[in-house]
Amino acid sequence: MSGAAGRGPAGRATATGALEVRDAVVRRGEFEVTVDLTVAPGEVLALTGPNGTGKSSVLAALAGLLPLDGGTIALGGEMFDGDTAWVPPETRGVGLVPQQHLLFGHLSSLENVAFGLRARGMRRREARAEAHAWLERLGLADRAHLRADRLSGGQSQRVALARALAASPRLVLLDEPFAALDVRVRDDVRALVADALRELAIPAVLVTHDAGEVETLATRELSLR
Amino acid sequence: MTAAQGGRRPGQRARSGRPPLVLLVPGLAALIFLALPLLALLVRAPWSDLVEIVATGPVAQALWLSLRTATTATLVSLVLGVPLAWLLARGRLPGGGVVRALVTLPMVLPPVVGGVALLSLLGRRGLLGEHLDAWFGITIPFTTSAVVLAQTFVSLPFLVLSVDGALRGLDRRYEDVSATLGASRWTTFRRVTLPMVAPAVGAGAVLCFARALGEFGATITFAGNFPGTTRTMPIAIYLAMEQSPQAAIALSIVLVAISALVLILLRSRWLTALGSTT
Amino acid sequence: MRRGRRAGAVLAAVATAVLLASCSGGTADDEPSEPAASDAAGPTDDVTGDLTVFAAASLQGVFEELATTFEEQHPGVTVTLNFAASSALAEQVNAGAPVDVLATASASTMEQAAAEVVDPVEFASNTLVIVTPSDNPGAVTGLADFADPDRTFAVCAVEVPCGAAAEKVFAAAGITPAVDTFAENVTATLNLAVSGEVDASLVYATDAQGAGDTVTTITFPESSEAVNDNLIAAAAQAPNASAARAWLDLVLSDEGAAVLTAAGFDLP
Repeated sequence: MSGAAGRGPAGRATATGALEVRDAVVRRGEFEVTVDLTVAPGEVLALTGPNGTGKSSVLAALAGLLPLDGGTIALGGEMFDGDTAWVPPETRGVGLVPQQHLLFGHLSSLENVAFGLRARGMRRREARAEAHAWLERLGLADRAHLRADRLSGGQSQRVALARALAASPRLVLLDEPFAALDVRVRDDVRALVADALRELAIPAVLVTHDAGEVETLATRELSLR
Repeated sequence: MTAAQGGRRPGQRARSGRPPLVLLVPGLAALIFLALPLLALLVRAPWSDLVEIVATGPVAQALWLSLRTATTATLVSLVLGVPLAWLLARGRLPGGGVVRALVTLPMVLPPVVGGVALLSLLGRRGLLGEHLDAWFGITIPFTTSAVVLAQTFVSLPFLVLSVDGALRGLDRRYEDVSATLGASRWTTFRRVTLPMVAPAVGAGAVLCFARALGEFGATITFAGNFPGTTRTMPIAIYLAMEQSPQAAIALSIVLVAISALVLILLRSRWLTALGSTT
Repeated sequence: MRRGRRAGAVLAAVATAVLLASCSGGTADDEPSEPAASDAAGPTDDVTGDLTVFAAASLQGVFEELATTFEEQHPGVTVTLNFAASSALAEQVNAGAPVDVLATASASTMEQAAAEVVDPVEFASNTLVIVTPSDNPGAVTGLADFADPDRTFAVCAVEVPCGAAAEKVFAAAGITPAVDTFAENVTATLNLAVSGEVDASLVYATDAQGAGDTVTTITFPESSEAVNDNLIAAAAQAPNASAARAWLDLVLSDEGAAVLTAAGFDLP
C-alpha cells in the first residue's frame, strides 16, 4: 500500500540519471529564453521568476512538447533534444503536472491515475490496483470511481499529481501544483510529494511563486528573468 | 445587467426582457412558416385510412429499405468521416481551405447533380464503372449499394464538418499530457480525443442519418427505382404523389414521425454541441 | 429608432414583392375570343398574353415545334410548355396549378384531372418499342429478352402511362420481366438507354424516333396490346381561354396532324 523508503508503491526500481540542459534556447512565438541547468536524481530544482519569463515554456521543452531552437537536453546521458537527436514525449518518460490539472474529465480518477500505466502496456487490473494505492496515499480512495470532472479543484490537483507519479517517470515537472489547494491540505500534500520524489530518486523541476515551497521542497533554485 | 439586481420583483425583470418588435415579428413569421406546412400535413392526413395505407407490403418494404440504407450510410460516414475530420482539423492535408471547401461541396450541390456525378464515375460507361464492369463484371447502379453510396455522398459532409469543428475547438494540452504519460498517438486519439468530441460525433451522426433518410435526387438518378432494392421512402412518396395525394400524405407523415423520433432520441446536449461547433 | 423603421420598411417591401410575384401568374384575358379558322395563316389580334401548356413527356418534340408555329401565327402570345409524366401533371392541375391546356399520354391520366378540364379530345396515340444503346451491348433482339435477369432493363414506373402500357404488353406476351429500375417518366427511361446504363428500355415509338441514332429501335408485335391514347383539353379555369382554344385548334388541324405523324404518332 504505502511505499517503503527506496521503492515506488509497487516496488518497481526507478531509473536514475541527471537532467542536463545546456544553452537551451526555448522560443514560443516571439518570446525567447536561454537556459542552462543541471538537476541530479533526488534533487528538486525550483524554477522561479516573474510571470512571462518563460517558466512554463521551459517545462514544455523538457517534456518534449516544444522543440528547442538550439542547445541540448539530456537525461541520464540520453540525448532528448539536440542538433541530431529528438525523442518524442511518448518515450521520454517525463511526468508533467500542469497548472490546470488537465485531468481527462470523462474518465474516473482511478482511470486517470492508471492511464500512464496502461499506456505502457500494464494490464488493466494491475494498473488499477496500483492506481488505487496512489489514491489512498493521497487520501482520495473514496473518490476513485468518480468522474474526474466532478472533483473539486484541490482533489483534481492531487489526482493529477498521482497520475504523473504513478507512471514511474524518470523526470518530474511540476507547474505550480499546489496553488489550487486548500491551505490545510497543502502542507500534507507537499509532504506526500516530497516523500514520493525522494523514493523515486529522480530529478524534479518545480515552477513556483511560493517562497515557502522553495524553502521546504527545493534543494536548489534557478530564477528566470 | 447590474440594473436588474436586488430590489426588483420578478415581473419587472421579465418585462425588461421583451424582445423588440422589429425582431419579434419576422422571427415569429419564420416560426409560423416552418410550422404551418407541417401542421397542414397533419390536418389533411387520412387518419382513418392511415394504418391501412401504411401497413401494406410495398410501404413497409420502402420504409425498411430507407432505414437500412440510411443506417449503413451513417456507419460508413462515421468510419470514413471521423478520420477525415481529424486530418482536416489537424491541418495534415495539403491545401487546407480548398479541401474543406471540397468536403462542403456535396452539401450545397443540388442532389441530382451528385447523382449525375456518381453515374459519371460508377455508371456502366463511367470512369471507373467501365472497368469494374469489364474486369470484374461488377455494376453498381440499380443496386442497394448504389443507394448507400448516393446517401453517403450527400450526408458524409455533415458528419465531417461537425467533428472537424469540435476537434479544432479542442484544448490540445490534454493530448500533450496524454503523450507525456506514454500514450501512442492512436491511444491518445482513442482514449482522450475521441471521447472529448463524442457529443459532436453524435450530433453529426444524427444529422447524417436524417439527410440520408431524406435523400431523393441523387438516389433516383444513380440507384434508380425498384421496390425493395432501391425504392426508398422519398421515392415512394414522389411516385405516390402521381396517383394519390392522400397516399403521399400518409407516407409523408410516417417520415415526419420517424424524423421526430430521431430528434427526440437525440440527447439535448448533443444539439447544444451541434450548435456550438458548426 | 430609425434603424427599426428602416428594417420594418424593408420587411414590408420584401413581403409585398413576394405577394406580387405569386399573384402575377394568372392574368385573366377579358377580350372576347373569336373562333380562329383551324389553319389560319395570318395573325389574329385577339389571341395574346401567356399560354401555359402542361404536356406528357412524350409530346415534347411535337409541342415545341407547334409552339414556334403558334407564336408566329399569334405574335402577341408567349407559350410556356411544361413536360413531365402525365400523372404528375394531372395531380398538379388538380392541386390548382394555373394552366390553360393539358395534354396527356393516356385516357386514365386525363380521367385523373376530369374535374378540372373541359371536353377532352383524343388527338393521337402511341405504342411502345424497345430501344437499346446504339451499339446494343446486351444483344437484345425482342421482348422475351426482358426476362433475362443477367441483363439490365429499364421500364417506366407503373404509376405513369408508359409504365401501365409496359405492364399490359408483358402480360399479353406472357413474360415476367426482370426489370432493374422503374424510371419516373418516359424521358428518363429513354435516357438510360441513350447513356448506356441499361441494355434496353421500353419507351414510346415517338421517343425512339426522336432519339435517332443514339439508340437502336426494335419493334415487337405485342405493342398493339397497349395503345396509349393522347388526349388534350382546355382547363376549366384557364386564365387565357381564347389562347387555349386556339392552341387546341392548331393541334387538331392538318398542320398539327402532319407534325404528329412525322414524329411517329398514330392518328385516331
